[in-house]
Amino acid sequence: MQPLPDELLKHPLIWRVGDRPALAVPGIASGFTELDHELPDRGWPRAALTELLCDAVGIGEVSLLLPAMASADVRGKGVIWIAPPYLPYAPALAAAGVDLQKLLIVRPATAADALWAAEQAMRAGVAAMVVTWLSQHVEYAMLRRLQLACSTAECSGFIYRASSAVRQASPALLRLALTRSCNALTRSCDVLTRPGFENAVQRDLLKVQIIKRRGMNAAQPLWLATTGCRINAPLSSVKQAWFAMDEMVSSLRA
Amino acid sequence: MASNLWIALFLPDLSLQVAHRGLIKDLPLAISAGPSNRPLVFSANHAAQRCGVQCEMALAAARALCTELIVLPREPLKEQAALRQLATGVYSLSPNTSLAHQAVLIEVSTTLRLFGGLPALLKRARAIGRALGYRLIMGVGPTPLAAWLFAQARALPALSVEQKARCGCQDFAQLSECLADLPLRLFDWPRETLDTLASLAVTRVRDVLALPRDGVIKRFSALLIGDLDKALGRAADPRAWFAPPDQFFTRIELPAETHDAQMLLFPLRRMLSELQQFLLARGAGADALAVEFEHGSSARTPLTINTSEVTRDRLRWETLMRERLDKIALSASVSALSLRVSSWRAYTPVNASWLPDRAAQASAWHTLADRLASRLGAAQVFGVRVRDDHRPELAWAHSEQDTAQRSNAAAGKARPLWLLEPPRALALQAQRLRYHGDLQLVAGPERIETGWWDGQPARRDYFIARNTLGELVWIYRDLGERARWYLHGLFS
Repeated sequence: MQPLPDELLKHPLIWRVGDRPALAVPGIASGFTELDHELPDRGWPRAALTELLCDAVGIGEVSLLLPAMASADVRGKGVIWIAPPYLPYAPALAAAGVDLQKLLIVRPATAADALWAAEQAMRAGVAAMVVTWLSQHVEYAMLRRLQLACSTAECSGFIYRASSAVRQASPALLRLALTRSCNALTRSCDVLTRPGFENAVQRDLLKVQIIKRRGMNAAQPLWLATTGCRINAPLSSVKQAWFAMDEMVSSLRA
Repeated sequence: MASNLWIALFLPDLSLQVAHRGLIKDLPLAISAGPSNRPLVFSANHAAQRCGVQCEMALAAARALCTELIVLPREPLKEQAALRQLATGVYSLSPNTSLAHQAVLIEVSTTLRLFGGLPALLKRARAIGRALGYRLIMGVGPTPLAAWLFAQARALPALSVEQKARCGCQDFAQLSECLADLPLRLFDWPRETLDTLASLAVTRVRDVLALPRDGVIKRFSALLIGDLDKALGRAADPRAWFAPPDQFFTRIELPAETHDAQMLLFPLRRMLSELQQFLLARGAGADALAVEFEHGSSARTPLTINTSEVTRDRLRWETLMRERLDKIALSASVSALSLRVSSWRAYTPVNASWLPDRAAQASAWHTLADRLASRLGAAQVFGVRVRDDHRPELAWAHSEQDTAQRSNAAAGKARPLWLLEPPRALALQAQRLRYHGDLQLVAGPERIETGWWDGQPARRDYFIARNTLGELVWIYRDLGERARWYLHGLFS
């Protein structure tokens, strides 16, 4: 059999298993080199839906997106947050470099309204990124609509869902599972021995498992140091304060 | 001297047109007038005429001919209002606008070049009329009366296409020739005068002009010759200029009450295009529209449409209205609706550009925000900004536009991405703080203290803690009398 001509293989719509798809437009740089390396677009996809599966709040799941939100090409266009679980805190966002003038927060009363708002926001194509927190089960057809809205309006859509949705089929081009456990952290020694990761326990480490992506099958999980929390005070003084307070509390009780 | 050019915008069957606004279906409709003991049909629409209803017919006879005939009384005040409304609309074409009998006159010699010639100007005038929901017949002439006569002549049903094409004149030199063939009954002269003239076989303008001038003045009145002189430009014809109103208010009475909110979109659209014309004429835009749905005589449902920036984009208002109408609960069926805009601001439209630019993008951003807010509620859609305050709950605020403020209060300190409002009290179990498992302090304390100047004092020690799930939380201990622990934020 004749080998396929090179020009044909370079076509952006053709890829072979094992190859990385050709890049027309690179994605939005995620700010994490390891993650960019694993993503088919070398960043968050620009005109597609991305699914982020996580159960806990406060493990650094939003910090994963913050560097992208602070990047120059997103700052110019803006970001919309729909149905965040709590109130986004402006000083933290400003510190992360997010342009607050170009940030719109929508907190609808019901899950149906949230889906409606998400579709409108993605379809309008005015924001570079639309991030939606979905608290309930969502039909495949609805997700498909969101994916279509993203691809037609060239909007980067992100949805946070519970990790139980991993068993459900999804039209999203990229699916990531986000977890963290302190025990797993101590086991992944290769990360801890790398330079800059000596104090890994004190930094936010987020385990990112790529469930679905265009091109090759998923590789090893990634450990990312998200920068949601910069800890300044040394722990020893904290412990002293903690013990002092313990005594105070017990004395108050007595 | 630059010669004047007048356009007469004639509204045929004005009383019918006024009654027709807001009517969707082509129902037989007649306007009644005359003495109350024997009302007559003043005018009837096509549907009614097909049933045999004619003008000047007794109303009882008309009702007998057509059982489902809708009869409305003639309302001269509303007709005047309609003329004023049209005048406001075409005010954008020329500042020299004047009201006449069943018509609006505009003098366009000064603005002809700006709008690209007469055909383009007529097209614009027609589009404005259509947007307001009126059928216009236009006449062009060098004097106001001539323009008005030409427009009236074009409205005559018996005229052929070629005759209609001849009804109009731009050149002063040809005016007397063009006017010569017009029938005399177009003038609003007394009926007896017209009858007498007709019996003398004087029916056209050329016939009167052929008569000796002194004789006509002596036998009839100076009115005839005066009007002819004005039409021919031999006598001055001063007109009072129209001044547009200071407040926008329009109201449409629905011919049939309706409960369906979507049915209201049709009259609303008409009112919005009217508003757009009004604002366009003043170079202004609005950011708050007050709509009122009237149920019968007393009950009303108000509806306010707010946009985040000043605009005069009809389609944008319409989209917002549609979203609100989906949600609004009408307590009773609607009989009339009104639209009021009491304040407006100067508005400079943005130049369109080939490539998407910053201004257009900002406008699209506001449009989306308005759309979301109109459906979900204004409190549900917001931006945030930083405030310069050391107390965490006061260090942010809902943002109004362009009120960026810098704050160094928390510079270099860890702040959580999610803030709990109000802070959640934490349970202390066996000397251990618990939130999704035991909490372990990771960093702290950071003392945040005092706020005596505005009555919101705070004395707290903040810590960062981690629970067994790996969630990082921001907790504080109130240093007040109760010494309790609170969860104030979550790092994410």
